[in-house]
Amino acid sequence: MTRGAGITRRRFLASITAIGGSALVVETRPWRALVAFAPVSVAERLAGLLTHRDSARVVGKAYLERVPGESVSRLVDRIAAGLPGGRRTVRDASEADLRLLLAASIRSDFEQDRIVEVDGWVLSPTEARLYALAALV
Amino acid sequence: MFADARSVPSESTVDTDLCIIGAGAAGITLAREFIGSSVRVALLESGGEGFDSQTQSLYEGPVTGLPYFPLDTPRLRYFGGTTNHWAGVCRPFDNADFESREWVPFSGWPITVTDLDAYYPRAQEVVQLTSDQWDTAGWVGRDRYAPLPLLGDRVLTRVDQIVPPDKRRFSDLYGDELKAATNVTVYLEANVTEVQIDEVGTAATGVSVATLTGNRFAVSARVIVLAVGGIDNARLLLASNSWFPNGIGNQNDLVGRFFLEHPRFVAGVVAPTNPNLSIAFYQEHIVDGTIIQPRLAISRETQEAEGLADVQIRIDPVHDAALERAANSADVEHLKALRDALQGKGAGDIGQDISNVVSDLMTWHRFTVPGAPIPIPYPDVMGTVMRATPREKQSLIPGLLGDIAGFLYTRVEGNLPLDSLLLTARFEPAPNPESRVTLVRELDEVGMPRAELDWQLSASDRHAVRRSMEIVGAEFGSAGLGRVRILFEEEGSEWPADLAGGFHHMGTTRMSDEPKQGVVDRDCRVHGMSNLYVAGSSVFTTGGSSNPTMLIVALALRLADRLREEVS
Repeated sequence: MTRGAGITRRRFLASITAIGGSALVVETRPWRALVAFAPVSVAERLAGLLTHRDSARVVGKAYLERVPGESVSRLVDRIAAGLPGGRRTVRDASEADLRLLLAASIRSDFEQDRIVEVDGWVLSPTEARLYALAALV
Repeated sequence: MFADARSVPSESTVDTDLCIIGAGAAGITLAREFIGSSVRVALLESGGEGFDSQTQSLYEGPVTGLPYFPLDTPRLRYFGGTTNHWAGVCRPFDNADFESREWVPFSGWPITVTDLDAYYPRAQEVVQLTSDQWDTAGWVGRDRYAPLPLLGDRVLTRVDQIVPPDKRRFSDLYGDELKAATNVTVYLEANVTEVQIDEVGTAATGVSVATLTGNRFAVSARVIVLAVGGIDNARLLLASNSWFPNGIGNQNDLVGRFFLEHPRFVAGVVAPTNPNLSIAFYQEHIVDGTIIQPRLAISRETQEAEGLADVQIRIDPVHDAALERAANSADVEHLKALRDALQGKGAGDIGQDISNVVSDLMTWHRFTVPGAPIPIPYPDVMGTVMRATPREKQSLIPGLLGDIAGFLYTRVEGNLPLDSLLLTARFEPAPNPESRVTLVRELDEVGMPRAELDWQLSASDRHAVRRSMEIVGAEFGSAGLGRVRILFEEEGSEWPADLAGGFHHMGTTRMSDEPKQGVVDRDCRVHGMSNLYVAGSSVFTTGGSSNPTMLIVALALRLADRLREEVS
């Protein structure tokens, strides 16, 4: 039994509805050491799509606890792998296009039954990785 | 005709052709089939025409295993039986329910849905359903609400029909008919304590009857049918141990085993992406005069592909508490009471009128008299008030003038904005021989050993529900409806604290072709006995996806056809 939310509904909703956001936020975090060799700009571009960064971080941390060993580079690679054009799309596509492509990728995850559970929530791995990025960059 | 068993002389024997024990859905259905025939029928009912706590206490017994209701709670021991508190939910078992599925242990009935084709339409009449529409597509389009726009084919919507509350009690529906029947005698206050069998142990000769006032007599019959419910059918067979020490039909230690329920608990919660998502289709409502209750279910194809038993999911909204309080205020209840009262009088399509009136309330501020100390509803609303009786007005008017704002909000939005959705899973448990009814030493007031229930579920049940919730979660995500949180883990042996049954007692005298796999054969005859039958959900081999009453009735009608030749 996992009742008793570690993540409140409000926080969770804020994070899943924030993929349409556009703020590009560069922050200094303790995890920066982990990302010394990562393509931070691409990672931050992805994480920057989330407007409710605080909520995303909460979900992202929960995901990282469940899937240890993830790194920014690995997360970016895996998110990009689900997009046509891969990493280049992440770098070059407009924010609007990138959001649409990510939404399609998330939908495709669900359609293909690719799911990951975070504190009981049934999520798409793509969205979970986005949240994880938000927690790491 | 009705007779009081307390007036039957002790040590006497009542002779009849067909003896039916238990006047619930199965027993009454069966008895009615013989009205007007040359067959003499004795229908023995433990209770009277109404509830009596002393009689009801004969149902008491210990519960072990998973937590369950006290055994005198889920069923009722008087004329009409458990239909006296039946919720009226109906849906026929479908083909897959009867099939053997390798991923569901002990599944597979000896009959198929085809064997019931002729009986479901008749069962529908008996239970007072007016529609034979069981396809969801047949409701969509006629309904003002729509199913959720789920995209894939893994989760579908299944529609149950609900019998109106005033047509659920078989006692009200068929009591007069049985009273008038000259060849059927309903013995009230008649507790059957044992089935008697002949000296070679292959035929029932009659039953022993005891009343709470102390007289004891016998009923001899050519054919005997047990119809006392999923727990007491087994109890009576086990207690009939004068000839067979382990009870009748229990040569393979199967009587009482495989007890099934339809377990349910809140298995998930949805965070909707749109708080105005309409789930009205999934609430109990009326379409073209029929009450329906749709639910989500995992498709049969997905069940087969994934190796899952049937799981269906009820959706309930959770609203902001403040809005919920307003919408459920006494004022709104007054309005609803008026609507119900007027509908009950058959005042044409008044339900629509009331709906219109209520819709008008959305803009009530335009229809108030400026400067009045309290808002006064405009003529349309007042017209409705004027058509009400003085008593109804008394309750309506304060309602109209009171806490209306919250209700207006609901009418404007169609629904209160959602905070979340609760997903209650109700599933078909795998038949489990360790889930069982046994007897204890303690005797009830008429000398019958009490039944003990040890309700058990299986690991495969946990997997079926958990995996079904994952599938629902993926489908909600795919459709953009929201995200699902699953509220229980597959690992472990603890079930959620809100696990409950549905008052559906099945499986304890399961149907099988082979005596080593069940208690009754495909004709509901106890294996090894020539003239002893069982009616009711205790003969269900598996619990299926639907509520049991309609199948109970269909099987009783089928049994009646079998017995006509035998008794005549």
